[in-house]
Amino acid sequence: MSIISSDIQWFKSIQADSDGGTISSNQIADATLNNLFPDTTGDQSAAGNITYRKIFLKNNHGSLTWQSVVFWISSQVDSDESFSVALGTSSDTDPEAPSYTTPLDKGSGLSIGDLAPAASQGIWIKRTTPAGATAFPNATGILKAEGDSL
Amino acid sequence: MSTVNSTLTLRWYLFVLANKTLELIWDLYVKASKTLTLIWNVSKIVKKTLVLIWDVDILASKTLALMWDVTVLASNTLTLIWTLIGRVEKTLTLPWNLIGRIYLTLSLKWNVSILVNKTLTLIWTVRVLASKMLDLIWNVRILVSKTLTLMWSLIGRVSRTLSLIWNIDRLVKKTIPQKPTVASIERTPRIPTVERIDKRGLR
Repeated sequence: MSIISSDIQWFKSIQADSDGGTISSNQIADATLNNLFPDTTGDQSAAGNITYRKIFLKNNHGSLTWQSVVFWISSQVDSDESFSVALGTSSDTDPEAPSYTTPLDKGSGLSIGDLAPAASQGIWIKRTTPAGATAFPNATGILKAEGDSL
Repeated sequence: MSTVNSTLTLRWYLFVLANKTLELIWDLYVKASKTLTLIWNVSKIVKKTLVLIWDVDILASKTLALMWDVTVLASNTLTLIWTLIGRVEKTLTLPWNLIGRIYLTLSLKWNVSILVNKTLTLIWTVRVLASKMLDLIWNVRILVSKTLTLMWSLIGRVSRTLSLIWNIDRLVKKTIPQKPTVASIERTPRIPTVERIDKRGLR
């Protein structure tokens, strides 16, 4: 049986607030408020702020390898903020180490390669809040990963 | 082979500071404070300027008072000089008045002499006029005398003429006897009548 969407799961990293380290057992609930990033406070929006988070993309299929996986930003944040992403290792903790890009389509997306069953790939996400950003409820950004399956 | 994708939608709230108004008020407060400080400094400068002006005013006032005193002193000095001039003037006025009196006296005498001269001239004129009047009266008297003489001569001639006529008349009457007239009869005495006697008795 082929890999289906429900076999692909997103997990937080192990460190507090999911800001680095190995994969945790906490799966990220899709389309839920504050499911990864906290609210941007007034002080942060006034002064400008950068928040890093590390997540893991996991192939939770029992036997099939998810092949030629590509990761990109499907929908940029609809507030004044923005996402940029970078690939991480299985346990790195320094968010500023990788080089961040802003791939907005699959063509420019980050290539993860094949993900074996139960394998995962660390991904750093950088949320940039410019100084003086305008208030926004339910700021939303969408990440997307796509690969092939037998 | 099929394509499998997975999406992850991340959501959060973006807040902004709600105390911007307070910051604005704080900024306004700071600006107002600075403005008040500026006003305070300006007021201090103004105050010092006013004090300076006041000192200058006092100095000017004292200078004016000094000038006033000097003026009063000068005025008193001028008054004294004026008084002295007045005294000198009065001293000089006395002989001047004396000279004036002498002049007036001489003028009066001159006028009196002129008046006397004119009076004498008038008297002389009156005397000449009276002389001419007397001459006129004398001439009139002579005229009247001659007129009376002439009239006397005329009267003499008339008298002579009348005498002549009278004599002629008497001569005529003696020559021609005349009858008694009624008037001559009336002039004769009459015998008293009874009636006349009664009228006398009644009285």
